[in-house]
Amino acid sequence: MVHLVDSVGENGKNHALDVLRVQSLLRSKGYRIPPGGGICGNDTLTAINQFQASFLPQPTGLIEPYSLSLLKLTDDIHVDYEWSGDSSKWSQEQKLKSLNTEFKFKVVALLSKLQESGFLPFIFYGWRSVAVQSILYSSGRSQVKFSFHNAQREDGTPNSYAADIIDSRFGWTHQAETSGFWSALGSAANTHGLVWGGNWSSFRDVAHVQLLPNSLLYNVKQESGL
Amino acid sequence: MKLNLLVMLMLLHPISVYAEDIWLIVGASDPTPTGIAHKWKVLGNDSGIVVKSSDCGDSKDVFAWVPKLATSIERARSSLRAVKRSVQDAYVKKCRVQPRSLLAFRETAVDISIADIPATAVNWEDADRVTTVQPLKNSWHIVISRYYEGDLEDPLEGRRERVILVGEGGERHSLEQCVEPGMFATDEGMLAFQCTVAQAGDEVLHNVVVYTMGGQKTKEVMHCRNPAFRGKRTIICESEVVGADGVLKLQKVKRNF
Repeated sequence: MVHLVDSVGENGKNHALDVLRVQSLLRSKGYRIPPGGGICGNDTLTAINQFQASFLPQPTGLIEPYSLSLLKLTDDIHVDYEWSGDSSKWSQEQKLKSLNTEFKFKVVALLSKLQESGFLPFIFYGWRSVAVQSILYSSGRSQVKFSFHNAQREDGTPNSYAADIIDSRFGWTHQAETSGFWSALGSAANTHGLVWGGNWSSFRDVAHVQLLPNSLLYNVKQESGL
Repeated sequence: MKLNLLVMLMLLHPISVYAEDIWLIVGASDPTPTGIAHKWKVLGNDSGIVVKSSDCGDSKDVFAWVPKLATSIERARSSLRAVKRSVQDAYVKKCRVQPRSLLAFRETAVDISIADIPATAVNWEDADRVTTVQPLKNSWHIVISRYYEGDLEDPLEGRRERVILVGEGGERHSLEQCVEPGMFATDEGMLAFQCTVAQAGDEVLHNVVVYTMGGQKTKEVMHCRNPAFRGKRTIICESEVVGADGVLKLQKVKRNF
């Protein structure tokens, strides 16, 4: 189930991130809600009521964390939400689709270049949710709470400025280094004006490429409504 | 009889376990590490240290910038007069120093560089701004000094940690810069720990480093975690490999040094 920090809807707490998540889920079910920067307006309230009317005799207009309404918004029977599930397990096409448009073109070119060089490039991560990032951070498996991987559009859909690219034969094993894959990735990233995490000295991330310099992380977080 | 036994036990302990009375000349205080670093920077050129009030046994944790500290009230009064020339609100606070605290080692709880972290940094937590101390065996301690090394293009936004080994007699050995130092192990005059060095999918990779208690580095094992000593010149750790499926595989390895 999608995690909400607090309630969304009629007299709800309506935290921006929660509102964006609920709006995104409602859209995936065909409700038309224009972008609103995380504001719970009349369109959202109407959509919540209409949605609840399909299974509640008296709609409350409120989606609460861990509630039946949220469950029905997200479970497999009631929703086919494009961006749900473990994003590291998505198809390559969906991972590419989760990237920022300008970045995606560069990644496609970079993948072609690596293929031409005899490698089998594979996007391990395009976008990943803030919720997943938070789990990685709190379990000590990431050094950052927010990264370019977590960027999203105003409506809460993925807009990642970063991707982790490996050779599908090697992953992060020693062979990736000895085969020259990491240096080829770094060189291709440089050709396309991307930042490569293998150049970082304080903390290396050899599979990581991103569109923007690290100093713009704050702007991307703001742009993502987070 | 019981009292005699207690006195005997106390005499057998190293001196650092006892509380010590000192007088702090407090120039400013603040509940947050960022706040106290800014006040220090504005008021105090580079002098002094930041003291956590809990290091004086206070239940509330407030940070105080202490430009001077004294071992007697007379010296404290004299220091206060000097400090007041530039910091008019300065005052004297008596402190019973908690044994094995940062103050006991005269280490600052907040580095002055913390004042330079840009407001646009997004991945700094309060815990990243505060220096900590932890005991090792045999009255040795590890201080993890946290500071900012100004560069927002850095993937860690300039977050830095340095490992300092503090000996029984208070001697210090600055070991190395290390991301998230941990899993400290000691044995017969040797120290080992791990540093986080790289990202691999959903996992992080570590290096294990081995030092003498004199501060000399004797071994580094790439992509290994959870060090432990086995015998005089051998260390074991778990080597880390992440495959294309993103799964971390650990395997115990033995290395001589």
